[in-house]
Amino acid sequence: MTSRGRGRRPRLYAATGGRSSTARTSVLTMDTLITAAGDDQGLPSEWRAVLDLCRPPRALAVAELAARMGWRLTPMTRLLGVLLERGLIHHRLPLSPAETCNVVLLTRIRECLAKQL
Amino acid sequence: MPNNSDDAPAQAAFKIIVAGGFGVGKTTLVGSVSEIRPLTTEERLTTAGIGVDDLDGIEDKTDTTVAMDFGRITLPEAGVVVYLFGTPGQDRFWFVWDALLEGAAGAIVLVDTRHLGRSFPAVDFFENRRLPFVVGVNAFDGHQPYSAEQIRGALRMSDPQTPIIELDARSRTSSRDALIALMDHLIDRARPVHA
Ligand SMILES: Nc1nc2c(ncn2[C@@H]2O[C@H](COP(=O)(O)OP(=O)(O)O)[C@@H](O)[C@H]2O)c(=O)[nH]1
Ligand SMILES: [Mg+2]
Repeated sequence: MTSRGRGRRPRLYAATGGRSSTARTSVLTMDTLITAAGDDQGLPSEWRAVLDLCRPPRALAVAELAARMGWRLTPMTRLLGVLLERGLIHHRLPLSPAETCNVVLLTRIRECLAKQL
Repeated sequence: MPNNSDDAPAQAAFKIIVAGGFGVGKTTLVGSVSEIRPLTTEERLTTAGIGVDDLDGIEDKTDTTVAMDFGRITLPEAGVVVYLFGTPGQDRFWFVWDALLEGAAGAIVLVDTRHLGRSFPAVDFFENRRLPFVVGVNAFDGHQPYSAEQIRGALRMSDPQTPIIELDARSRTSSRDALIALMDHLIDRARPVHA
């Protein structure tokens, strides 16, 4: 395993034997929020760097993790799929279409924006 | 089984798209309201032969890198994190980027009245996709000469309910007001229709 330094290619294939989960990665859209979970002793340093970015109570979107690591979206989504499979992250899906049409929730978001900004 | 984990983050993302032609003020608006300095994420898109599996590069297709920038506003009391995603500006390839639009609650389409036509594709696209949006007219010269109706006509907007507002993307309060106008529009659309 050679290090490629800070690049667009996480050392995912080396670390997973070339496999990655397609079933799980599809769940992780760019606006799914991610938070680290569990024990990560002995993991590859890039994995730990990702987990360090989203230690609870902090949760970051998949897109933000990619941006902060300097990776493209697709490799980040793949790595997160592996972390999810191993129980190393928790995830929360973005609001569903039903929720984004919920007047009570929309009104609360509006009020919070007006108050906070 | 698209489920959240048991110990899922307490908040969920609420996605808003900021669109419009190149140089219209998208990144400026995101930066004006975001709690973090706008960040950029890239993705590689294949712009021809979309939907066709990779055949070892034999296919005549082009890979393009698109970059979107984004910011966020955490609203703990509402249990959401608003993520504002700016569409890639220089090209129109983002129109095929389904992942960018998927799950978005609404959009702000920025318009520069000196280059009205540049924002037409975004208006057209969101109308076709039925994604609710507001049009934000960026008054670059301090004022802009068109009435809302003239802009509606020039952009060939078909939904008369779509709000048109003036804004200065460099101003936090002005950008906030655009967000609130979008929220009001989303709330109106979500309400049961009155006879
Ligand atoms: N006068 C004026 N200039 C603006 C406004 N919004 C953005 N700009 C300027 O226009 C330029 C392009 O803005 P930018 O946000 O990068 O556009 P983008 O390509 O849509 O992301 C920058 O130099 C901004 O400072 C505005 O509302 N009024
Ligand atoms: Mg920009």
